[in-house]
Amino acid sequence: MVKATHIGAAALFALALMLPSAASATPPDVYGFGVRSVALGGAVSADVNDPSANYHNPAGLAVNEGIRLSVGYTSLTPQLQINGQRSDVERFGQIQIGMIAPVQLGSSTIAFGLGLVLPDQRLARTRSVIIDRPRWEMYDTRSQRVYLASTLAFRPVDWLSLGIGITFQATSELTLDIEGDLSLLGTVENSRLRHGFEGDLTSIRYLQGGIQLLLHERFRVGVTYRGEYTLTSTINALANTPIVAGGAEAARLRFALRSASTNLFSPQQVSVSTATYPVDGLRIGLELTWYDWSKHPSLISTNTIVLALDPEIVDVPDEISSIPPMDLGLHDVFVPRVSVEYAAVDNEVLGLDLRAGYAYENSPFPTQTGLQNFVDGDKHYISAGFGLHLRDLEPTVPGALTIDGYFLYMRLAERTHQKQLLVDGVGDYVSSGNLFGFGLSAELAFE
Amino acid sequence: MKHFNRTRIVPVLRTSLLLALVVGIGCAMIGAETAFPGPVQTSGVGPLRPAFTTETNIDGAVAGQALEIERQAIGSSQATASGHLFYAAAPFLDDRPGRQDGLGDGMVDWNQFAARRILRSAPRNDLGFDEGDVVLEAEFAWEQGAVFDPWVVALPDGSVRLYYGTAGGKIGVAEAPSVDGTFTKRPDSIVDGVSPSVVANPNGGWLMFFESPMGIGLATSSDGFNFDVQSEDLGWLLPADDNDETPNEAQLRSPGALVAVTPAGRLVIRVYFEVVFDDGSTRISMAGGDVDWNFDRLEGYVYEGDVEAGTPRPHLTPEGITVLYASVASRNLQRRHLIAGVIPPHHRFAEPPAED
Repeated sequence: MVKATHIGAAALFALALMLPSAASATPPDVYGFGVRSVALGGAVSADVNDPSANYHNPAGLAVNEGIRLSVGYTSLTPQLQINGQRSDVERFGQIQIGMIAPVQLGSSTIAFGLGLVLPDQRLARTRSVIIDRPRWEMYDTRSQRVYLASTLAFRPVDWLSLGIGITFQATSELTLDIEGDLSLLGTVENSRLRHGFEGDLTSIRYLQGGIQLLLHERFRVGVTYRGEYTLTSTINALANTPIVAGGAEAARLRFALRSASTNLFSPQQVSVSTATYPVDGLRIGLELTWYDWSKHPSLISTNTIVLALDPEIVDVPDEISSIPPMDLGLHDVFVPRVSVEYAAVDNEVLGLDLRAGYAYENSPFPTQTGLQNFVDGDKHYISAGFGLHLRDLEPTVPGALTIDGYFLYMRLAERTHQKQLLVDGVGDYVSSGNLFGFGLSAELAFE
Repeated sequence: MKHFNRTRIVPVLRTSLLLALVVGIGCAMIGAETAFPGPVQTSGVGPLRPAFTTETNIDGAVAGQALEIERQAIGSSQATASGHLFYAAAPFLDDRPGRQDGLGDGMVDWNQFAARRILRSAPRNDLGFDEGDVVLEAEFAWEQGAVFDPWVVALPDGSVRLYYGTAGGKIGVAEAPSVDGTFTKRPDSIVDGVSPSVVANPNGGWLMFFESPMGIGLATSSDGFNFDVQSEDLGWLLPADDNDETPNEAQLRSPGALVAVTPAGRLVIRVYFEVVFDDGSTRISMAGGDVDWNFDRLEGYVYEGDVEAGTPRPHLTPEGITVLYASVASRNLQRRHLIAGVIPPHHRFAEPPAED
């Protein structure tokens, strides 16, 4: 009985670990980066030059003459529903820090930038996928990730700025090694098992770059590219343990598990954007972004499990199987964005900008008609915000202080998931939701 | 571009740090772990959760027990939308024969009981029931002395029809002006078979799932009295796996059907039934079908408790929760118990009892 219990526990452990694992993209992909840029619906790549350029278009860094530092806080509260029941998706808050440091070299400008997003609840999270529990894949886990971008921009001539950046993420490999004696006849206390744990977070980098064309004082064009990356998570569990009875080894238990899963995927993206200033004080931004979601790997982990008992004093399963990786069926999407900004007040002491943005994101996830249950919906994104510029702060601050704020509403359109199989483990369901957000930041622009 | 001197940098740094501190402390919070996404199930596949004693208010011999009757064996039972329970039962004979040879441990030997008849229990405010009163007994020759497997259908005018099986292997029907009224039988049987389960056909008329000698059959009717048998075996038996040491399915019986509307707005027909394995054990499984009778068989089982279960009769609440009344084997091999099961299992009609 003891041996069966221990082997059963090992098998349960294996089953627990071999569950599929989680995934998705970076917080800025979902929630944007920079309070002004979020208020403008993300339609900013053509002329962004504040610290949010670290994400939206690194080329914008060099369209500055002074150091800019910003720190802000943003929050998003999902109210998502499945069949009218509130889904348990937690609020997401993050501290955003950005910096730009330009250097003038003759008639050219070189600028360094740094963008940092720190989730305020946890630095990273990986959650197993329970395949028969519908999960809001875009909002459940992906936000729980530190984002760090380091960028460099060069403006060789007035009408052209080029930027390139590297974003850092980390893959993980965790190993649990168990050894010792497993008592066959005694109580649990008679077993002497030791375990060692090794965790390895390996950094990976991916590229982003952009161009801003300052074609006319009233018209700018921007192009941004962000590279694809996949973060993997690997869990190894090893056990090689003699089973002892009466002081002698009765059998040897060998157990090995290797579970490799996609922990986070960010598709490559290309944005083309324009900014137009039809009259003084009015800015209109348009942007179209292509997301290469169709390359998304399976969210279900690949598992290799070996369980052996030599000699086989109790039955052990010949094979411990798990759900094989499945194609998610995602498709590429084009996301249009539009923004309007109006300088309501603009003088040497004070400035007040009023902003609004809209974006429509056709969900890359298909309706879930099979075994998988990754819930999402087409998204309408509506934002409004302000920018308050305090320009006469000398001698306390040799520059200007800008306070930016926004309110954000996202509507996830109702989506009906009708299962092909009439005895599906979950069955049909309807998903929909609303997300409410706000953000506030302070930015110092030094002269 | 201007160059800073020290007297200008210090206040800048001081201001920046202050801003960072205010925003950081004011807004940051330590994360609390949240639960995994909650379960969702609208397909009725289970697994069935035996009702809590707080849901049945019956502290019986088996988990989920929904009816406590003394010295009687119980057959299949059906809870109706009105809240009544119709069930078949019979008391022990005072002078009874020995148990039949070869009868499975979980099976009732009806030779040890008086003739089965159909009883009706009044509604309660929970999933449990009190012992009911007899509403139907055998009277025609073709019934061969016993009536059982009640299935009640309510009509829009408030009248009800009670379909039932008989010891003669024929299905009969009785009518009453209301669910708590007096039933009057139609004199002739309507289908050869037992264990009828009649639901409104989404395409009009009526569908009867029943147990035939071949398996689970399907009959259709426009009036609910004259049925045409479409199939005597819908072919839901899972194929035997000779390489597997586990028992193979040998027979399907005792269907209980319902028609549900999913959250997606489509009509589905769900049929729960008893699976008899080649070692004599029983479990409950189901099939789901569309309005054109294209069915998918569940490859697993709705109830796999540690006692053998059968005679499933589903009842769909207005909230879309399936309460499955079934009979399970008793430690007393002579009789069975009626249990209530809840699908989906995470639904709570009442909180579970506090642990001792």
